[in-house]
Amino acid sequence: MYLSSIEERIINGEFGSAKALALKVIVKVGESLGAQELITINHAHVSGISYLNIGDSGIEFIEDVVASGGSVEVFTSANPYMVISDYLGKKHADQTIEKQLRIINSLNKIGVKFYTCAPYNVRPPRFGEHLAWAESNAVLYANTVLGALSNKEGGPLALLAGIVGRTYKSGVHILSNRKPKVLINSAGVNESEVGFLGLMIGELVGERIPYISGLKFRDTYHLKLFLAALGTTSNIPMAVIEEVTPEYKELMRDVSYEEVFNLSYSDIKSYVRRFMREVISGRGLYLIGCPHLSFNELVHVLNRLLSEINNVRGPLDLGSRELWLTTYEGFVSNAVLELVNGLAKYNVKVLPNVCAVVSRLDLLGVDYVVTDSTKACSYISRLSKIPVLVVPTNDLIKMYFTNKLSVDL
Amino acid sequence: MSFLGDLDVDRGYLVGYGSVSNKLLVFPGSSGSTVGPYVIYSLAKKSLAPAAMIVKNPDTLLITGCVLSNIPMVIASDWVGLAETLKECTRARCYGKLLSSEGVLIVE
Repeated sequence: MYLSSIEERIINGEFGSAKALALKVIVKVGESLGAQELITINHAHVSGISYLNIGDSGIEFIEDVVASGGSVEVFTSANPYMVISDYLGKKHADQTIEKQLRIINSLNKIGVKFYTCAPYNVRPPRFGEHLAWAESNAVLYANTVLGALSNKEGGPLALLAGIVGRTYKSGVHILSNRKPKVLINSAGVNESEVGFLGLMIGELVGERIPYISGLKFRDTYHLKLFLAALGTTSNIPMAVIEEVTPEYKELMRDVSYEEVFNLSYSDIKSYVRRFMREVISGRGLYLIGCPHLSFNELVHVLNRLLSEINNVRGPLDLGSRELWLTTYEGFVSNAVLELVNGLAKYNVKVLPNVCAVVSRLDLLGVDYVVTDSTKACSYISRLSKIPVLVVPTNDLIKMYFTNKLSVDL
Repeated sequence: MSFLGDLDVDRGYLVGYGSVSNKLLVFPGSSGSTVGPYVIYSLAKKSLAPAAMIVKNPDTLLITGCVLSNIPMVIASDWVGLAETLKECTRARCYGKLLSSEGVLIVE
C-alpha cells in the first residue's frame, strides 16, 4: 500500500504507540482487501461496545488503548450500550453493570461522543463524505440515503480508524463499487410490512448491492426501519433506492444485473405470515426506538402517547409492562422533559444511550416483547430467546394501554 | 471455527481439538464474530495464543486480531497442496524447531 510521508511517520511511532498500532491494523486489513491507499475520514462510528457482547476480552483491549494514550483524531460516536436501568424493578447484575460502565468510561477517555445506533442524527454526514462506521443500519443509511461513503467496519476497526482519522480505500469508498448488482422490483407495501420487506430483500441479495424500485416510504422513520431490517439479514453496506438515493440515476447508468427479483404483493404477504405469533402473556416490554428515535420522532411518539392516554376509559393496570423509547442523549428541552415526566406513572421510559437488543431482556424478567422494529424482533428472539411481536408504531401504542395483543397479518 | 464460543479464552483451548497455545494453527477461516479480535488479543496477553496461523480464507476481523496481537498470519493460496505437505511433514517429522516442540494444530 502507498503511504504518505505523514502516514509513514504515524506508523513509525512518531505520534505515539496507539496511533502506530491503529494504522498498522488498518494498513494490513486494507492490503488483504487489495486497497492501494488510505483515505482520511470525518467521522468514525464504533460498534460492539456492550459488555454482554464483547466481554472481558473487549474491556481488556479498550482499557489498553487508554493506557497507551490512544485518543480519537476525528469525530467519533459509538453504538448504544446495554440497559443499565431497571425493568419493573429488576436490573442486570451489579458486576455486569460495573463492567459496562468501565467500557463507557474508557471510551469517553478516548474521546467518543454520543452513544447511539443512529449517528446520522447527531452528526449527519454530507454527500460524498468518507466515514468509517461499523453499525449496519447506520452504514446503510449513510450510503443509501445521504450519499456518504462508508464500508461496514468490523470489530475494533472503526475505533482504530477514529484514532488515526483514516481508513483503507476499498469497497464502497470507490465509486465504481457502488453500482447495483441485482434488481428488486417490489410491489408497494404498507407501513406494517415495510420492515418485513427489508428482511426479505436482505435474504435475497446476500452480499450484492440491490437497486430497489417500486417502494414509497411514508417518512424517514419507515425508511430507517426498512434499512435496519435490510442490514439484519444481509452484509451489504448500501442499497440504491429509486428516488431515495441521491445519485440513483448515475449509479444505474450502464448497469447489467446478475439477477432480477420481481416481488409481488402475495410473495411479500406470505413472507410476513412467517412471523405470525401465538398469543403471548406474562410481563411485557413494549419497545420503540430500534434504530434510535431522532428528536422529532421522539416528540411525535410522546404526543401520540398523550393523545392515546386521553382515549383510555376506565382504570389502567400497567403493573406487568413497560414501554421503552430508546434514543440518544441531547433531547433535553424543558418541554420534552415535561412530557417524559408526565408519562413516568404509565411506566413509559425514555432511555438515552442504550439498546434493548444488546441487553439480556430474559435476565431482566421480560416474558415477551412488542416492537415496531423487525431488526429488534430478529435479534431479541435470538439473543434473549423470548417471543417478539412486530406491529406498526401506532398499533403498539394502542396495545400498550389496552394490553390486547392481537395482530392481523 | 468461531473465536467466540469454540475457544476457551482462559485456557487457550479449542473445543473438540485441544490447545492452540504456541502452536501453528492451520484452519480454513473463522466465522466473522466481532468479538474475535478481542479474544485473540486477550489470549496473546496471557501467552496462550497460537504462535502463528495459516488460513485459507481470512476475514478482516481475523487479520485485525493477528495484527493487534503481533501473531504472524499467512494466507494459503494453495490449500490442498498445503494439506498434503503438512501430512507428508507429519509422517517425516520434518518441521522446524517451533513446530517440533509445540506442534501443529490443523482444524478441518
